Amino acid sequence: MGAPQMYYTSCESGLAGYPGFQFNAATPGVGEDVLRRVEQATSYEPPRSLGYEPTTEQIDGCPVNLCYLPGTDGEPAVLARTVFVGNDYSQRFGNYFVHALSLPPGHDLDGALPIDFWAAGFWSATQANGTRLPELHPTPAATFGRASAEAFLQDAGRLGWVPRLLNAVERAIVAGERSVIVLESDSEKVARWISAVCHLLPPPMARRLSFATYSYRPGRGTEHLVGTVPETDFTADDSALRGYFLLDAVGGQVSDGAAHPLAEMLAALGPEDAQTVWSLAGPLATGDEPDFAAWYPIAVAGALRADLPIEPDALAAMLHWLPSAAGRLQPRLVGDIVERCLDHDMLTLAHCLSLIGVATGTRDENLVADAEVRAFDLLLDEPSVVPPRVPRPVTARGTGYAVEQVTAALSRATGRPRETLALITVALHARLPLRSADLAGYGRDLVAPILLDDPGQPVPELLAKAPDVRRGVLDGLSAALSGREAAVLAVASRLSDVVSDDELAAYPDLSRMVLLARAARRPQDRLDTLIRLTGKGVPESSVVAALWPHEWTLDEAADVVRAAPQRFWESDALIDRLDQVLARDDEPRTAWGPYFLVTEFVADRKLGSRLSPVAEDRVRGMVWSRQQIRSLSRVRGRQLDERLRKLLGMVEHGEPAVARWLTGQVHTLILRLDPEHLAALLPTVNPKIRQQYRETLAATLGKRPDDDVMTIAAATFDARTRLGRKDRATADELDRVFADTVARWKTRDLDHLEKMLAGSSARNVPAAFAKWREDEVPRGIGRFLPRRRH
Amino acid sequence: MTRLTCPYCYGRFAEKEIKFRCGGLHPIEGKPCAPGPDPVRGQVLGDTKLQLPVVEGNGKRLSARCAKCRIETTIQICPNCHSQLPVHYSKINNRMVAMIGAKFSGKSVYMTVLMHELIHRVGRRFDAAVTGADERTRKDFSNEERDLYTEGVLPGATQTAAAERGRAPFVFRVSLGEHRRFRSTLRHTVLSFFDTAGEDLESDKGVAENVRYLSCADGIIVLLDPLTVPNVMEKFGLDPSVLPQAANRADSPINILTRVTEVLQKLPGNGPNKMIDIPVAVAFSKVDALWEGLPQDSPLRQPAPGTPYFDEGDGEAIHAHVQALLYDWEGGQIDQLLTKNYRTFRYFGLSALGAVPAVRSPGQARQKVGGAIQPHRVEDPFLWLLSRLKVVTTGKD
Repeated sequence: MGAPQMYYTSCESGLAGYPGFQFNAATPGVGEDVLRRVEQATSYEPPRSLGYEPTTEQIDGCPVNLCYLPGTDGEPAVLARTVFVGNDYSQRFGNYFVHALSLPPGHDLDGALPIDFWAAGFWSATQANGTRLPELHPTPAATFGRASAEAFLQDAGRLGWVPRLLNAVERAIVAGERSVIVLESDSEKVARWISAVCHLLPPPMARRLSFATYSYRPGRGTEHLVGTVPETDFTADDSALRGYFLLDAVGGQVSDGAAHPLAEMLAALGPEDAQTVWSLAGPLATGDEPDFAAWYPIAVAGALRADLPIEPDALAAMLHWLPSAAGRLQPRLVGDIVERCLDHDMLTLAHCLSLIGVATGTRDENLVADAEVRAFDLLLDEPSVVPPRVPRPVTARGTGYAVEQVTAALSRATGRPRETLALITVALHARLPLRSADLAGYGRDLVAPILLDDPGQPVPELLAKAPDVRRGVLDGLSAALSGREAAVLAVASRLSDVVSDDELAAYPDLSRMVLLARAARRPQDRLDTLIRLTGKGVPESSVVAALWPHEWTLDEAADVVRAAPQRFWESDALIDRLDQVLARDDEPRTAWGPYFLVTEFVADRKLGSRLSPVAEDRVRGMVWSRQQIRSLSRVRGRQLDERLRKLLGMVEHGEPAVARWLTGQVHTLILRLDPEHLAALLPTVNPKIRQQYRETLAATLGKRPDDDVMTIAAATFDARTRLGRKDRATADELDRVFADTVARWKTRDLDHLEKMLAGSSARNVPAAFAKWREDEVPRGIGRFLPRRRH
Repeated sequence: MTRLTCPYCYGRFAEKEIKFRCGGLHPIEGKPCAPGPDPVRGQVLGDTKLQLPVVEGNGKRLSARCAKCRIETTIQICPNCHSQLPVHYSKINNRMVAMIGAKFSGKSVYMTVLMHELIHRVGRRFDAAVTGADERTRKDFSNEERDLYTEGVLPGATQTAAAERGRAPFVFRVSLGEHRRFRSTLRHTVLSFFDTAGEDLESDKGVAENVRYLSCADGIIVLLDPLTVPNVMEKFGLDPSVLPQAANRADSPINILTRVTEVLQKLPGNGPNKMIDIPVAVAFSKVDALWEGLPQDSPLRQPAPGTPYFDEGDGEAIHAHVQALLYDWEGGQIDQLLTKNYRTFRYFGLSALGAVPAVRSPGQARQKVGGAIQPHRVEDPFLWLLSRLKVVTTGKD
């Protein structure tokens, strides 16, 4: 396929019609945009090493720029060679000659890579006679290609730089990251570097690589890979090493950077082997692979097909990719890759499982069986380990092989508990078709002895999933019960989570043991267990002791009281537990609810006589006190005063629980006393209750004054006035509460209170309130300021 | 609102749009910011070098805090191309001076000689400090200066704007005045020069490549080779061998000026009935070749004044003289074109080398200067533009 060509130089005549830099000639039909791209991409300045008196030989030896710009969005690619020619037609120095080819989309250079044309014979550096050029059929030189790139890399220790160079080129192509600059002693060596890179890269990526073998200002190049030589505008300093990816072959330095595994692999392969790999990997690619990450597994598959050594990480990457790609690949190719993977020394079980899935997709039963057989070989290489995923053979050959191998291994595993359990687990996970009797036999003969030998070990997971094995284990435990009761109990208590009641029903002694063990670990099940084990009788003290090895808490007592059947209370064991709770001085520790429940229950069922005297007194006192408090809501005046005094006596001399409860109750009742009784009672109550009373009074009077609050305020002030004459200290306490609360009331509310107090039976109360109001109620802005405390 | 122009990409932006670049310093806690790709630099300048992160900030302030490392940075960058701007760029004068000219008119030589003169002789005359504003300018200019002044080698052909890749303008910082205790007269001006190829003015397309550059210019120097004006060679009785071989075929000054005028007329703000406001210095180079044909008292033959200001009287005399010569040479076409289209323009005559380069010996690859470089009035067009832009003062003897 022919390619349009162009010549660009400073000349007297050309397409522009005036002398100077212009296109000297071009194939008719080349577009303006192509001409512009060529002009932009090929500008040339010689290195300063050329000097001020260059000879013809020095000019001829100037760096050559072979530049390739891939086409995007349907535009042609451009391949151009620029050489320095010294003077132009007007004898001005600085002229160069560009011979460029426009490669329309689809022009694949007959399979050659653009860099292969570095030494091609067709490049021209002389002006055309006219302005029209024919199309050219480009042919690369045989001396410059993959073989020479291989030899170049092998020389002078260059191979070590290749992985990072490849990685940087890939990043530049894919992500537009920093451009790659190669500083070499001459442009031919740069071309050889580019050749090596192009022959190592995945071919589609190599065709996307734009490059220039020489630029005076490589830092301003738009190409991915730009070459330069010493004594140009470019300085290979630290800034350049950081700002670009710089391979300074002259100074022996290279920019820092990581290398992708594919870059490492390709560098290790070299251009010749890389070609083999890419040719075998070609049919595996979609053509849309964007970067090294996508190409890596494909390259590994290619290397595998080429019988080249594969590192374990590479194999893992390929096997991660294969399942998703297998669906679009020819089954023959997939089969080939799977077989080669199965033969790989570094294949792991996880890999093999992946291969089974891939092989299944090919519908080749032999391939699947091969993979299953290999998987079980790998699995049984470490018989004491149960892998997270276990192969489940589906083919007859695979299944038969697996059963044969597992049963043989079990027969050899006696005395190795870990291995035995692992093998049975594997057999279950793999769903191997083992007979029910065989599994029960394994449970009885292998698993049960292992459990009894070390009762502290966790319950093997396999028991939860294997009823046959479980049955065998229960048989074994039941048989051992007579001689090794402690060990059986220990094992049974651990088995209780996995063994169902129905299964246990066949083993009554074992069942009782398992139920007790289960309830011991799960407190919420204790009562249910007690009911189940008691049946229609009354609870035995041994059962109660087994279920509650400790004294009941108040909550546990309340729970039993709520749920236990009537007949259970015939059991002294339960009554004893109840007595222990009620006899404790510090009960209740938190809420009163359970305590009331238990005491009311004992009183209702008349169980007090079966309790100890202390517990019985507490029950009686508690019940009486609660009845008193309930009845006080209906009494007033003197009757209220008398009852209150009795309760206050209980506070002083009653049982601790009763006294504590009453302390929390009576101060609210005092609030409701009339002034006369209040004034009489207050000085007599203990300081703690008086303190609580004041706090309750302050909280009540601090609320928005409604009728109840007004009534309490009036009664309290009345009582305070009465007290003022005989108990100044108590009156002062009430004054302080009033000053903090009532003194802040609105005038309207204070007026209302004053009206209520006007009807007091004590003569001096209205006057006392007026004086108190005058002295204590702040005026003006003082009402809103914090009260000053004296 | 005043808009600024980037001296590197010629993009325009408001002061507050200026961005910053992290300085990459090590913070007290954590790691310093790492360089990464800067797609803007890659796209606009073709620079794919990893750069420290761009920091958003208010460009009216002289610093911003990097959001990542929390360190303050004062490195200001252009919001369009992410080039590092000269120090305090938004707070000082910045002027773009465009230089264009026909092929073989000597633009590259003129630019090198002009800057050399500004740095040395003219700097002393105006008590000015002229320095490269960035590392690349300093490096590249010193290379070109060494080539011409030390090695005596003329620059090679300049590449076209289309082929141009990675060549950035020269950016200089001119500091005039002095710092006094109570009233500082110190003034800094940033100048950006972009050397164009002669080919770019040979066609409409080439001129269009330079539109951005021209549209941002505060002043334009148009360098013309008087020997390419029709009939000049005959009138002065010159030997055609003094011209470069191909200069005979170069486009005429009137055609070049016409193309430039059309480009400037298309710029925003200009219209069919509006004059072009940008001051244009039309400078005829290589006047040393005409030396013998000019009268002894011709203003073109007189040395430039040494006054610490732009001598308006001397400038007007040169202008009138060149104007008369143009009428004599080609009937005043150039003058008519300029008079009808430009509000402010001035003619100049100069010689960058002071003599015609030596004839090249056989086998000699590069053209040599031939002797010592003796520039003649190279600074005149530039100083006139600076006087129009109020950077230097104007006086009259």
